[in-house]
Amino acid sequence: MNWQNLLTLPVYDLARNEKQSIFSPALLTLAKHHYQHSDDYRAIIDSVYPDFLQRGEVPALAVRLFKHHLLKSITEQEIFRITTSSGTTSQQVSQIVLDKENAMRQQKVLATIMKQWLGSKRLPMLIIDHPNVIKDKFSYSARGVGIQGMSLFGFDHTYALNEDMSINLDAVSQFFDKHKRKKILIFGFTFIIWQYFIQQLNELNIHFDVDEAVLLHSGGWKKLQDKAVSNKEFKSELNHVLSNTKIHNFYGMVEQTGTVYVECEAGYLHCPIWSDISIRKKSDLTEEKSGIEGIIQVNSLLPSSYPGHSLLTEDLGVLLGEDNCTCGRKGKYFQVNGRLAKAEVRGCSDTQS
Amino acid sequence: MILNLKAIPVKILLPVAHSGDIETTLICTPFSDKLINELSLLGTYLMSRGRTTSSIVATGYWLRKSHLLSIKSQYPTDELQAKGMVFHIAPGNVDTLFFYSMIISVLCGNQTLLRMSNDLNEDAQKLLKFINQFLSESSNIILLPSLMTVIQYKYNDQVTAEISACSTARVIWGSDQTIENISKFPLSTILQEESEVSSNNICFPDRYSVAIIQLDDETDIESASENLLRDIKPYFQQACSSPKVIYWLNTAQGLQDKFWKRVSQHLSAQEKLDVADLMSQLLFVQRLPLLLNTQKINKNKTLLKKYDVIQVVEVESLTLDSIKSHTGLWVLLSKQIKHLDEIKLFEHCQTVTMSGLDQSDCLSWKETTPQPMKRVVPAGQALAFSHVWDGVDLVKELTIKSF
Repeated sequence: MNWQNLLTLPVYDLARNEKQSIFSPALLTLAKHHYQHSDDYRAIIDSVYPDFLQRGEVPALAVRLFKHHLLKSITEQEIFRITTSSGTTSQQVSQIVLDKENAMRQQKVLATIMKQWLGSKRLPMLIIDHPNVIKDKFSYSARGVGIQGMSLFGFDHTYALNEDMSINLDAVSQFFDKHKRKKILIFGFTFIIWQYFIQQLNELNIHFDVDEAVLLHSGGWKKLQDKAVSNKEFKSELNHVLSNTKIHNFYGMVEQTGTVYVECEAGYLHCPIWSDISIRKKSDLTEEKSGIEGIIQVNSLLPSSYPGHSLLTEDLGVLLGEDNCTCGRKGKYFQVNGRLAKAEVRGCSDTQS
Repeated sequence: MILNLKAIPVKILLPVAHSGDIETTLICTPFSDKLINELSLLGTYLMSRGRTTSSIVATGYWLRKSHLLSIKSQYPTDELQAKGMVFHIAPGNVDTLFFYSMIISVLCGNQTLLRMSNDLNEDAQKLLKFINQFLSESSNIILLPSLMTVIQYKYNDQVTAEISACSTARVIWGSDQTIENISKFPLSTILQEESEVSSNNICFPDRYSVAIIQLDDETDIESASENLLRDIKPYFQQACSSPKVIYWLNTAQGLQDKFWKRVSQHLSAQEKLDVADLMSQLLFVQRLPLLLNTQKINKNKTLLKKYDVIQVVEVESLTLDSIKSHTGLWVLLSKQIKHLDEIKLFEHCQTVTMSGLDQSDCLSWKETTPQPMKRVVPAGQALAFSHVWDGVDLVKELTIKSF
């Protein structure tokens, strides 16, 4: 695959036919690359999807596979880094094998996408978390990786929370004072921003006058599913404590780091040129129509060192349209509705539940 | 001794009108007429109330008087005494298996306390509800409410320890891990008739089961498919006794194909997997080629054949990992054999079902094979509960022989 050319493509400008003429053949090429270089991927294809690649079809792997098996399309010597997801529902974590090239491409693509939303200059950055979340080597997890990844787009990184998750009012006030009349970047995880930032400021009855800010958040509600609020409520409450702040949620996962799906002004998540989604029916996992909730499948051209190019996630979402979002961006746009309820455990051997 | 359930964090599910106190030494004569009578009345009640739920009808049917008497006839019941208080830790989710564990214990006259999992499925809840209704509607039922208690509690070492300390026997259903965790809490030793009764753990660890099928022509398909369905449909094929591997003995591929179509047709008409189960099924099917291709057994060719909700994976050989990671949900590992001697079972094999095999071949294999299975039953009867389970004689284990 010619990444030099692929990287020059505009992020949100290609309409369906144009995009597919580039994306589909590239995805198939990538699948064949993994078939050649990963024994495990080849075993899965040969056993479960024997004629798919010849037919030009790329089957999606269950994202949980990466929690059970170390899948890689490179040699031991070429491993540059193994990233892991935080295990929120089980102790098992996803392990993603990266070589240098793949890791760098993830960074490059993430940066290109973020520039669309932040502009090309680094911004003063407020991080809604505590500083130790990235220091602890053992919890070098999705949260730490996410913060580190996003840190590249900011400077004067300021952490808004103390280690006990209480708000560090001094640091926050100082930050806003120091960067008055400047565009600033705020980043954090959805449930942390809600519980430890918005709610604490509300309780203290404090709000900050901000001239121009972009707040990016991601990660959903995790264990706080019962406390989840709608995107609309999240935004209105946030604007209550911070004025003049543009809020963008984004959807992404450690298994496909780089190709994130950012929420537009109209409130929908958009596919960048290097990745695409489809929705699978809840009844039989075949393709679902737009407008109906199903399981999100994510396809990305980035994974070259591990066969994570086509994944069936455990997230529920709805495809809302393609090329016709009111925000003007081309490509598919969609919403994420949450995680699939955990599969019921049955059988003789689980007596401790 | 009194065990006060109100003093520990447990929830009492049965009987609803429980005082909260259990007299741990209150027992009765094993297989007494009165016990058998009360249990068979419960059986009649369950069969009529549970009509629409096959697993509940099965429990009622199991309690018919003639069946209870036939179990009794296998033991010198005059010489038997109840063991005392028996603490049962029920299997997580095989909906109604808990019931049999409890009933055998009561039948043996024991003070029976059963801990159920915290997520009860519909069938288990229904069964509990019916038993409760039976107990409160029938004024002449006296022994059962005083001998059986069902509780739930969030897994808690202290509670387990406290109950265990009052119990003379413990029945543990679960994974090796669960068994190990629970076994570390000591049981009580009590004096009975001036002799010390040894306390014991009766463990039912995780097991797997297989089926051997031979089809000679198309006329064999209907009954063979119905029998397999009976063995794999309940509990989403997740019961230890449901076959996970099919050994095809000298059966033409065309017949196998028709067989699977028949099974899937029947199954799809009755059952559906929800989306979370579909995802787990897909995950396991994708994991299988990796679980089957360990370094030792390389180039183990596997091939998936989809029959709607049923996923048949043709394999050349099996690995322990592929069995241990099996999550039911109607995935069947299929292996072709020419001779019964080709069957190699793992140590934890429980049930072998047989369908369409020559009787004398079956018999001689059963008698001569060194394979470690616990029981061989005709297809369709894999889930039929017996008081001798996994080779453990529950009546013997839950009573004391008096001299």
